[in-house]
Amino acid sequence: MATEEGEEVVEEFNVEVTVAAQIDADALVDLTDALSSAGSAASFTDDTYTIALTAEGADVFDAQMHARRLLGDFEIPEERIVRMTTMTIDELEREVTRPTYPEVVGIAEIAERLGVSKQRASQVARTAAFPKPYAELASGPVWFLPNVKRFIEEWERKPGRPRKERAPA
Amino acid sequence: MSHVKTSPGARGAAPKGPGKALDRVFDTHSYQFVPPDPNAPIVVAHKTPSSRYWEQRFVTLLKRSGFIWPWPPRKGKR
Repeated sequence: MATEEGEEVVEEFNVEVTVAAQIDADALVDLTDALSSAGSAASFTDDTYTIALTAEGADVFDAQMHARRLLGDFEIPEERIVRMTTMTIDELEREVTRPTYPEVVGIAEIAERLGVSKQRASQVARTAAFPKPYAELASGPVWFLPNVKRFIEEWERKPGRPRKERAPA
Repeated sequence: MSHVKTSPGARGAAPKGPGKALDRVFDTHSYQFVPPDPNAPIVVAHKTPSSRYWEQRFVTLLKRSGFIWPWPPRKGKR
């Protein structure tokens, strides 16, 4: 990225590097310690480890190169790098605030949103136009909130008691 | 210098709740999270005053290991 005067602007990026190799927990902590000025955090399984850190650059590609240079001092085998994700700090902030669970609602919440009783909400939820439940629990069905919101936006509320359809003579 | 120790059988001792899962060990700046799922990655981090965006990074890795975030979950009400 460059300013109108042509000066290169260096930004900070979040870079995550996953390495397909075993690492001892203490060794990984030592690594995050050594990279602490880059705000490093890490995770590991039996056969991989991931290091996340701040790298600088004019763009994501530049930041990846910076991250490789930072990690290059620690004899991390480049041929074992199986994943490298780079994102802006704004994107990192968005990822942090994203919930790890789906937002779901039950009949009580749907009734509140529709402004009707729970009995009426159950009737509405049984209509063909209503979205299918996200899960059926022992305590009752739950719905994915965005689906319910979309339904409510498009729902044509009909006042009064619905007419009973007469059986054909 | 080692700040975090993965105690033997740490995975077996599943945390009782999300609040218990985050351990502060050895000194005040090193953290270890052993997730209940034995297949999920263990998360470690070491914080110094110069660490930048450390918390965001740590939370991101915790979320990927199954940590429920934010806690407590929001109700589906408005």
